Amino acid sequence: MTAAILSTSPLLQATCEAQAATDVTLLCAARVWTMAGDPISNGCVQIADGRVARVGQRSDFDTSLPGVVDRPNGEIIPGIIDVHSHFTLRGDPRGAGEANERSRSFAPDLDILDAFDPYDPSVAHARSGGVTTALVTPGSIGVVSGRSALVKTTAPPLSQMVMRTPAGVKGTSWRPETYDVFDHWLGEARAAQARPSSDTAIAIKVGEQLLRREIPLVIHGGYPGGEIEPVLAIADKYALRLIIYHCESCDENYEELVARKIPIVVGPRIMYWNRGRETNLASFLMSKGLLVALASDASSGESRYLMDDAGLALHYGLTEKQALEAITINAARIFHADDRIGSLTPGKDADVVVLSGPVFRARTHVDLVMIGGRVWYER
Amino acid sequence: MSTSMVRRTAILVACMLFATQLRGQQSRNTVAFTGIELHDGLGRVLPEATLVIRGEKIAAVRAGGAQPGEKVVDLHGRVVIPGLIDANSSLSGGQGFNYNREDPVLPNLRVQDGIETLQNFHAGPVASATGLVVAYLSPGAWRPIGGQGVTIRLDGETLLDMQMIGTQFVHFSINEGALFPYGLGKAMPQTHMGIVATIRDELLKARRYARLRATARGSARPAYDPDLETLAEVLSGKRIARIDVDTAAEIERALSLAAEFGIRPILEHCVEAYKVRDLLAKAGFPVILMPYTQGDVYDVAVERKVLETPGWLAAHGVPVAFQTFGHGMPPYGNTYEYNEPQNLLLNGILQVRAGMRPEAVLSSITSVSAKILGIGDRMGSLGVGRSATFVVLDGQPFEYATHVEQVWIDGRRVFDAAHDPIVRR
Repeated sequence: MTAAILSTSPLLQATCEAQAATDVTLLCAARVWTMAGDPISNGCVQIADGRVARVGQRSDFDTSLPGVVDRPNGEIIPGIIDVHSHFTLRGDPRGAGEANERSRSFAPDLDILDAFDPYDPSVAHARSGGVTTALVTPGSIGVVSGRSALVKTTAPPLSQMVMRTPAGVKGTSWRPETYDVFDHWLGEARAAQARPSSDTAIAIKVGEQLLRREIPLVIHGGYPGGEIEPVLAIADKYALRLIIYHCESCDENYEELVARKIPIVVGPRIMYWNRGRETNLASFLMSKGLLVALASDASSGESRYLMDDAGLALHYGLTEKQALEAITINAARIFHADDRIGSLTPGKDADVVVLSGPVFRARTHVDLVMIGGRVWYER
Repeated sequence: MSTSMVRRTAILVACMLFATQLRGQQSRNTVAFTGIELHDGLGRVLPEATLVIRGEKIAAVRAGGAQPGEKVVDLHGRVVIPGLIDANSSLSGGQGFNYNREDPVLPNLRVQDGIETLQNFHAGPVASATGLVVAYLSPGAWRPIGGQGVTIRLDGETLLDMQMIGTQFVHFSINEGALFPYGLGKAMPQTHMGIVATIRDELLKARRYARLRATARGSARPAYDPDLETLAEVLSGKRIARIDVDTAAEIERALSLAAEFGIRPILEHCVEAYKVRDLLAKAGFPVILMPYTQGDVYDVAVERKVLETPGWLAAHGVPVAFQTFGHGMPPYGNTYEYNEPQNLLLNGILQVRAGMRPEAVLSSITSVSAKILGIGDRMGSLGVGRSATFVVLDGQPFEYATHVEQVWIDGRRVFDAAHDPIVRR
């Protein structure tokens, strides 16, 4: 449906022309952060058919051939993955706006892709900061606010951008009716699993996907007190995959999270002043063995600065490796997308970012962004 | 020798001994920090320098080492910059002053009358740990005529301790934020026309008031009016107008009003400064800008222009200071987003990346801010006679990997990373 509207779009044509740029097959730099083992000094990443073909030392490749991007003073990282974003959705994601269907608190049938605007300039904007994949999600107004999706920051048609739909179901945990709403819903879904029917409502089908652990339940939660306990109880009862966004006070109840191995997506803030003490939430949760990613919670243009948020996290105590993992491989793993993205490994999507200098240094720019083997941004 | 001569000699010797004692006492207060890379906040960098402080003040800044009589503290490998100054801070939870939005004209609304429990500021450990030593607490930018802020030194128990004597301001706003259903939609202003008319109206009233107070006699002389007194001081230049504007058109309106009333304001925020930078350079008024775009500009080409504008303006003679925009620190806000006051130094990274010279970026959060706030004789730069207020870093100022090791305010160490009970990096 969307494709039919877009097929005669002049914008689409212009985009295609921009796309038919250099065919880059080899990217080399002073350091390649593969996020799969130690970084490679003086390394190269070879591309074929939109995928990473080989990664190794510069000496293993012929850098004299055409189609080489070489930054002898720069570094290469995997495409950055922003797993908490409301980008392109008009309005205020914390209130009114496209991210929140305020008329209904229980809305698993809603699909963020019906609000996502692939023509919005914030797609190109995020890309220019090295973000190659984003998880775009409904907001946090309702108990269950809808389905999220993983998209690549390329260009319309939408079908070209979508990597996975649905990528998850978004919910919140702080409302008093939380437990009852989930219990009723998932109880119905469980009953429906025993009686397959073509008349099953979308909301119930989504519930069944959660029960089958095909998609995770992503909860905005973590305010002080036992606020996330209802969803923990639900996740236990129905054996769900659970992911928590923000988790502001999770240094208080981390044992519950560790016991269940719940991944956490913090950000954009990681430093909190809890109970008269500074806490680096990412550092703390990582030290307890939890899988932690850092994301932007972008309403529009903040996604582009995710690497700087990671720099800030570095300043406040993460190591370089931890800070990079938090915006690449950890994000991919949390959403079970690490078969395709998150590291520069043969067979994975060729989502590659070339930096003009060492990562996290002030004067370092994003020089080039490759997605699926094509160059989508050059400075 | 005669008795009187003995006595005189004894007195002379006693005096000389006493004098020696005195000099020894002075030496005990004199500390020389050696081996430092000193950035003076005015554009100068001394690679191997010594900073000498005596009491509350800087006694010397020199290339080379300590001199006899100075107590040496070896800070080999460290970088020393002036204490940082946030020229337009929301540290006080500035938005809180805007909850009563009924009155569009409140020139005498003062931030210092609304701050709760400054003692509960964790300004000491947290602010100082990031090098921030002085902040101008703004009453916010949500009213056509919005009140007065206060400059505070982030050291002390009460407001009286912290408050600094500097330039006095009155805040004006010509932006979306100043629009509000005043009088449930029945009172001015409901439009930008209304905002400017409101400001013009009040300034004309103040001009007339000042003239009559000075020249009229008897019943023709108006009664004392505190609001008009304050606005008259803006017209005379005793107080400086701070005008918060966002769009290019709003900037032009502010410049026009300034010309109309012959005042030299400071312009704040100016998101679209890039569209009218030639006008701003011509006017030469100081501007207080965000060092980055807060994610509210998301066209790649436009963003580049926005980020390059502070450097361009500074290079063309416009005093450019940077501000933060966060919710503030505990207890008014408890999270450290990128735009928080405690990240003022790190925010500079985005300007360095955009091409602004690092020393110009440093000036924008030290000496230029100090000058705008009227405290440039004391703060914002490292020179003889200035306050001994400085930050010791373990690396170059504008890098994520750099940390604050020590912060000194008025010759007293207020933060020491090695021994701080709260801040651990």
